[in-house]
Amino acid sequence: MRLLIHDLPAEDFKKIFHSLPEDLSIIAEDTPIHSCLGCFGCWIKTPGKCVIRDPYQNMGALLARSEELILISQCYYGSFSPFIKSILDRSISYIHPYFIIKEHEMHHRARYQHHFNLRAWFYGPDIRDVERETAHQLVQANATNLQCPQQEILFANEPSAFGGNLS
Amino acid sequence: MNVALINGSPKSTSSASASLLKELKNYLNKEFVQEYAFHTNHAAENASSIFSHTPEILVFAFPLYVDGVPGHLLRCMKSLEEYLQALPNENGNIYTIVNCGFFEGEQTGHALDIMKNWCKRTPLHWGQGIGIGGGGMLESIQNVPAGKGPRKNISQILLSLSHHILKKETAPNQFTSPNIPRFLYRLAAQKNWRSEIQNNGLQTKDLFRQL
Repeated sequence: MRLLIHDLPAEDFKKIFHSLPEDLSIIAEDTPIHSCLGCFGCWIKTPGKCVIRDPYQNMGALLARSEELILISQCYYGSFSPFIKSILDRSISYIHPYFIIKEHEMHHRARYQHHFNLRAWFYGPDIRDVERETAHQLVQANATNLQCPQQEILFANEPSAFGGNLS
Repeated sequence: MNVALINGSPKSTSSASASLLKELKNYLNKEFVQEYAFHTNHAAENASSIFSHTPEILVFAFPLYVDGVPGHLLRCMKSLEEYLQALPNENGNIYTIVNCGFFEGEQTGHALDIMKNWCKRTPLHWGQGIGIGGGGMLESIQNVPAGKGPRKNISQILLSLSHHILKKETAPNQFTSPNIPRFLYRLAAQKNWRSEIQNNGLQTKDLFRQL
């Protein structure tokens, strides 16, 4: 399975991506997302699952079944948009609370043996060079901490530029 | 001069961000300090009604979430960006304290870069970023006297930050960790997770549950 998470209005998404591969699962902001509470309940109360009961509760398990994660996000200061970032914040059940040391730095241990590749596609009419650089480093850090073997990062002024990328 | 201390943790009680701001406040002139909480997505809506005085200095404190700024705080920053752009406040400075669960404070660097990029889209100037590792133990050591034992490095960096704030100075980002060995922090953290899950009526093996 490939998982695509985007922050585009439904009409815009339909116009840009009219034919979608069968193996693609899509998450959009159909329901407003509750942001992470910082409670660590997904590690110590309902391990592997977020305690907030909404459509974004099972992100950890979804990532564990994905070969690829595609994020289409408006660029906010070199970061993902609030919706995409809130999804990522609510995905930490994918990893384990214990720490490991990797290349002299502390990171989290994996919960699953499975790994997915990370593709981050940022759009926005006014993405500055320094924001691109920050986004590059952020996605690299995400790939390290989510233990993604490969990552890709793209930028475009308009999300329509990504229309042909889903094959 | 008035200073706005903004707690950007999603936790309304018992957060590392709150304990860091509490210590920083002790080093500042309290008459000038106003405290604000951005715990939710909507906390910064109607920003003009939030601030009792137009802040000259904004000091954010928040936890590192997935290598960056928590989602709810990004939403608040967008609202605040629009508010700040409308203010004649070109002499203001922004300072940021990010804490992370990893031992190395340097891992907060990307979140500080995001805050600096945000700052550049407002009329305010970037003052300094502080990255503090070992966030998981900060609340538990808040009764240790400031500047002593495991709090030594953290107190030093907060005191230095307070000097920069009071002089409205710009300084390079600084990073630190609690004054204990990394392996001890790691062992203590893992013991804590086992204890926490058992307190919830589960077993240690449930920490490893796969769905």
